[in-house]
Amino acid sequence: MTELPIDLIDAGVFFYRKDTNRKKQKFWALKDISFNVKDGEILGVIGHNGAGKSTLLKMLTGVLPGDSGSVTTNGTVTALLSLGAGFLPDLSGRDNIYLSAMYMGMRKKFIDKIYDEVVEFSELEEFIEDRVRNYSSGMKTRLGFSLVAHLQPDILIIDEVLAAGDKAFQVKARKKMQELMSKARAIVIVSHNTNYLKSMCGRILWLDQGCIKELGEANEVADSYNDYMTNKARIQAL
Amino acid sequence: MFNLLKYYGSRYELFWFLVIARLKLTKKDLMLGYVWWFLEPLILMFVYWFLVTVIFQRQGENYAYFILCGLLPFRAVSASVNQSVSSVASKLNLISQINFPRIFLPLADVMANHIKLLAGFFIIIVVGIVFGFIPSFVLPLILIPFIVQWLLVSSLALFMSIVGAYVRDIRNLTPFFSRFWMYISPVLYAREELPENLQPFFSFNPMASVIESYRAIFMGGEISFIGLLGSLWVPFLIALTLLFFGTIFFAKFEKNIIKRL
Repeated sequence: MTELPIDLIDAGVFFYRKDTNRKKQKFWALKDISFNVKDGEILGVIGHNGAGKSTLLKMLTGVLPGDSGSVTTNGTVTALLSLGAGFLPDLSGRDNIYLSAMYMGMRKKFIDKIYDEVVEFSELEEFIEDRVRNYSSGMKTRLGFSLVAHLQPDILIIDEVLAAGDKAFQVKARKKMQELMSKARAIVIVSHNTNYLKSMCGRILWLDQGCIKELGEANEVADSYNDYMTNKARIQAL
Repeated sequence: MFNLLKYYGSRYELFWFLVIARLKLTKKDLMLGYVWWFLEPLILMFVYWFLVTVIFQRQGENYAYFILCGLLPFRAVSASVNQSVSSVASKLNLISQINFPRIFLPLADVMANHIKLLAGFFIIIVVGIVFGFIPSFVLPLILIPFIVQWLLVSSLALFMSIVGAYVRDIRNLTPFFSRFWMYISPVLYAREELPENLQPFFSFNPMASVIESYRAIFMGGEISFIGLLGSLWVPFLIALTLLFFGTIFFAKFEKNIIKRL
């Protein structure tokens, strides 16, 4: 049997927070999460703010170790949520490409190979020796995206719809995403946009207060999530 | 433990890049760039020489050079100690997004400071020639106290970076700690100048023998390979022990740093 790209069994993670009496309280940000992603599958994740989406992504990238159950990922994991996370503003664009890629576990040889493509894709050839401090935020995102887009991960994790740079770059970025997704073994997309998820994913996972509320075929889950949210909005309006 | 070391080893490229980045960062924004590596120690030497010989009227032959030999190595210690408390704490954003060997953060800072120290040794040699100390064939022995010091400071940085990430207040204390450590080390004075009843305690400070070794080598004292090992094996063992426990300590607590965000 081949190994599943992503396999979670009863995974959970807790944090401490202070309650209203300023006493430390343990609370589970995620509890008893079990699901898997098969080869070639695209899984969507929805849920309202604070449902545990980001925590789940952190567990998948290995940043946050679980406190219960198990999280197994097979292959390299790259998250498109960390665009430019490791950038040092006082280093040049070139140095930052190398630094970021090395943070993500790439070898220097590999980076040498993709370097030219990354720079070309980001359209930052003229500025690449300049300090990142002098970049506009659009330029930084472009650089970050171009880098991540050339890393060829087995498992790709995407947070929200990408808004990188101007219109022209966005079109380019979307195309690149498609290419990336066709190469990756498994993809997890987190978004609030149910229509986007419906069009992209086979299945959707709905998180609510750290638990799985529903997991199933994309259209079904998206519809019941929409119903739930409109209902909730109606109740709140009353 | 073995797997952990293997994992760290497999990512050595990141470690060196962090060291290089750190070194590059120190020269950015400065007109004179790397020249400061050489200017700083000379200015410091002057300040302490002024303090001790002009204000306290302490007389001594080649006193300025005597200070420099201790001051420069100790600068690497205090800079590392002061930076280590924030080496993890200042990178929380990165840590919460990418999974990488975080142990490199404090270790790379220490390494960068000690590479600067290697450059500093050249200053010591040049100033030494000015003072009439011609470098002899024992000069390469300088690497022995250097390595002991580097291991010792690295291990301390492992502890301090974690503590600094959990208890932010600690960063207000480290400058005092490193300064105090300097004053109890023979940087501005020699061991013989201490009151006799204090001298036994002196040996508890691993940096004491390290600094004395530097000085002996640079100032043409009686020194041999065996002699160095004789005075440095205790600090060396202390450093290794601390390094061992520091690695375990770091690995144990780094996991939960992100939960404290």
